[in-house]
Amino acid sequence: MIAKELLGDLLSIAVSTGGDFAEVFAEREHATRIHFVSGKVETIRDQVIAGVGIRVFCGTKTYYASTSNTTREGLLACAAAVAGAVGEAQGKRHIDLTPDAIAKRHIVKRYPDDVPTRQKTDILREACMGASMVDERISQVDGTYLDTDRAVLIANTEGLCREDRKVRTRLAISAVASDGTENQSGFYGPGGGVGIEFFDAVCPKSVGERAARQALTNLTAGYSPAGTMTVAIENGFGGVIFHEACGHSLEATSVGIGASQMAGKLGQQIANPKVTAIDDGTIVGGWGSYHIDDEGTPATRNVLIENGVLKNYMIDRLGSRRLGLPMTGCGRRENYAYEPTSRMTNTFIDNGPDKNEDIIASIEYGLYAKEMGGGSVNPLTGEFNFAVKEGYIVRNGKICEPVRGAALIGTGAEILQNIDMVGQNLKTGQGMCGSSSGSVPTDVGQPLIRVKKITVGGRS
Amino acid sequence: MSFEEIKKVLFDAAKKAGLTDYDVYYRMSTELSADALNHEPNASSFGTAGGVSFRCAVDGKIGAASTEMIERAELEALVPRAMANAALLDADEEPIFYQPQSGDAYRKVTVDKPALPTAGELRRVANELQDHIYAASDLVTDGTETAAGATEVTVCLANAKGLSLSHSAAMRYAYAEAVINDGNEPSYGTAVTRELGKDISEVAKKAVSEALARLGGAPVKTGKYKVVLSAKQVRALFSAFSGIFSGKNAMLGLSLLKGKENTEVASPVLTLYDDPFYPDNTMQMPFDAEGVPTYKKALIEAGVLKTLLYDLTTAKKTGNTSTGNAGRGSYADPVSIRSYCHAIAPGNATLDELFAEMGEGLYITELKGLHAGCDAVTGDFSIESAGFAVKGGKLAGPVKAFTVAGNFFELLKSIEAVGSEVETGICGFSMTAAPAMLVKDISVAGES
Repeated sequence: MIAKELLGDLLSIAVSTGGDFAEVFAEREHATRIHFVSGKVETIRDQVIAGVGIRVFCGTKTYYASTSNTTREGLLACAAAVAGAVGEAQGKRHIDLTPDAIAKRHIVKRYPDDVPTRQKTDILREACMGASMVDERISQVDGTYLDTDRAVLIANTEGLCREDRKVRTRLAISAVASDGTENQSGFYGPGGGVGIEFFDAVCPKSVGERAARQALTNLTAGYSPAGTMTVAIENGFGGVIFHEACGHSLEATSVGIGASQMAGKLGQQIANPKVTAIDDGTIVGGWGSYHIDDEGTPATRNVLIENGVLKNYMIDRLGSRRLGLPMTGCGRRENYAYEPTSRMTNTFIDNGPDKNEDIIASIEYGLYAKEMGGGSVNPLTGEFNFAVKEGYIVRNGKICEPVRGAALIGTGAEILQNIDMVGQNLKTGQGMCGSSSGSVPTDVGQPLIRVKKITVGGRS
Repeated sequence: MSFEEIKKVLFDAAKKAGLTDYDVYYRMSTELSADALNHEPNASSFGTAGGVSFRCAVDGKIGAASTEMIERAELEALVPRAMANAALLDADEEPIFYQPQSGDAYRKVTVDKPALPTAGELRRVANELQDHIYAASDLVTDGTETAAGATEVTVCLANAKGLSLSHSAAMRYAYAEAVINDGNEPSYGTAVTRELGKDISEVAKKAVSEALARLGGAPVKTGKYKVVLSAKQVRALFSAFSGIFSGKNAMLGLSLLKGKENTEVASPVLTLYDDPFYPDNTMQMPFDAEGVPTYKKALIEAGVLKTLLYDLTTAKKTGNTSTGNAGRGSYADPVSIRSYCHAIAPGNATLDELFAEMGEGLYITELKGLHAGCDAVTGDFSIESAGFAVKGGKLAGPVKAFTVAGNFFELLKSIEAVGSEVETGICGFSMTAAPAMLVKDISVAGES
């Protein structure tokens, strides 16, 4: 993307005014997003994203400049801009770059650009028609197919020079069911860190059907009850509870500046002993996986919590300086316009000791949350929320009538102790996570779990 | 490459490909910011990003392609890419590109474009904010973050029918997040301003007093409550549900306001405008993403829905005219319907008068996770909240760890009073301006 000599020059300029470290990040991405609504392929968004970001550290102070002007002049101006922000010229040093190749584990079989777009519109159409055909009460289907092929190059003044190519494919279907007076919606959006071969394993029609069935279930559902109760949260996207309740609070972004409830708690029992939680960017073909992060550090399998004990944080390059702990390969950014920071990859609660049927049977009265939506958290206080998209009342150990979605809220510290049963059907679900370095693909996951007590934001 | 040069490359390539109807949309942003943390400058950034999108009509369909690589070969490649994409669409309407009218009046913006501050100026503001926050209370602690920044955006649009428009706007801001700890628990408060020149100590004080007021939040009993939503949270809620005013969502059955024009959809105390020239906004917009002149319009007037928002295509399909609300989220996004400043007309009551009128209830100052907790198709919401108890018509202690749940369409009808003080937050091409509101009967889930 950028010749080695020019890379060396850019780093040399960037670090010439008092910085102790500089890094160049370059990317070129082709992203295709196809939108289907009202029975028609409506738009194709076909975008080339290209740009460069140059970062300089002075201790834990950072300076960043980015540009979409990737001509030689544009890049040199970008390097000069960041150097100018750091301070006065102090003399240049030569930077030796030693390119190395990372062993490939995420093998793409069919790159998006090698597949005709018509094949992609057909996949989307099959999914959306699948949703429409489920029931005549499905009044609207809104579907998106997307793929991205992102080439990145990272070089820094420590001599690191690495490239990676990150490919992702996803299908996201929203269905609306209507009985004439009321609308209800359903959603399903599976994806993977793979090429178009994703659809060898995932049948588009079944994706649409699942979204449609959720909308229909909600159409017959009453309001969720309000108050604190026992909740069983299903596998897959249910893992959003850990992502919000704990994951963000374990990112060096907040831990490193003391703005996290989890700061200073390494080695402490912070969760029920049944909880083991892992952030694993190495899962083959995972939605949140990659070979190297956006700082050039290889992805790792990072055990965050083991049997309830806090083992590690998610630590990017700056976080590593702040905390004095090794990097874990989690420095991510949406694109070159953002400075990277510590982010989650594929984050999940591991299988536990409890049988799934025992978890449901143990609940006298409570909620079974089958499908979840997104959420948010304040890492400082640990107060979090996330949405239930499909829920059922549990009565006397049996799953009964459906109830409409509601927010579940709590504080991380409390909820981690309240996860008192952990089942054995670990599965992940795909989402987009927003934070200071933009929106990045992350997997969440867990087996069926029981939360002894949590506030359910239904209606009274 | 200037926009004129970009336009020439693309227009030449389009003509060569035999195209007769097409447009070029260009957007470039410059952003700069400075952050400070724990008494010290922490980060400084400067960036320019943007790109070009080319759209063309082929066999009755509009195809598009975009790039950030503004180089001749890349630009020329947009033409065949857009043509190939057009061939795969199912659209049934005749494509429309705006035909400039001789009487088109693009209103002049009413505000001067703020100058972009220097990096040094931003660092100074961020640092001063730090100092003011630490000086405001002994409880202020690590994690206190302040920032100052500015954004300048240039939008250009030209089409084969002779349209050629360009507009540049900018905004500035300073932000403070005070973190405090009283030994028992941490708390935080935030405040924002868009006047870097004014005495920013007020912003610091506001953030600290918010953090202090929040300390020791008590739980709330589950039940039905009257609530006053703070101006900031009215803005957040209306912003989360802004899609219900899209004429396209209505056409697709994704907005329950479909067919409700000229009927009562809200309490008579509510009047809501969509205003591209909102007086306080430095990012006013004289034309939309299709080149249609923009103007201020009432969406809801004294509770009655006056109009939905339209672009050219949706207007034609539904027998309306464009309201100048065609928008693009980024230069690469397809044209969709977007609002400018959603501005709620102020009422007469001060905040204290709203509390007095409510008597007993909750003052909601935080709504969190609205992206997940609101469903614009159904209007349902269930949202993590925090705020204050109101007892005997007066503000009492802080409350937290509860949710508010309801339906936005029902909430519109249950507004009992609208406050007199409008808040706007930072500027943008899309923003909301709103006062506080008194609303009856909201479901609250907290302690059993």
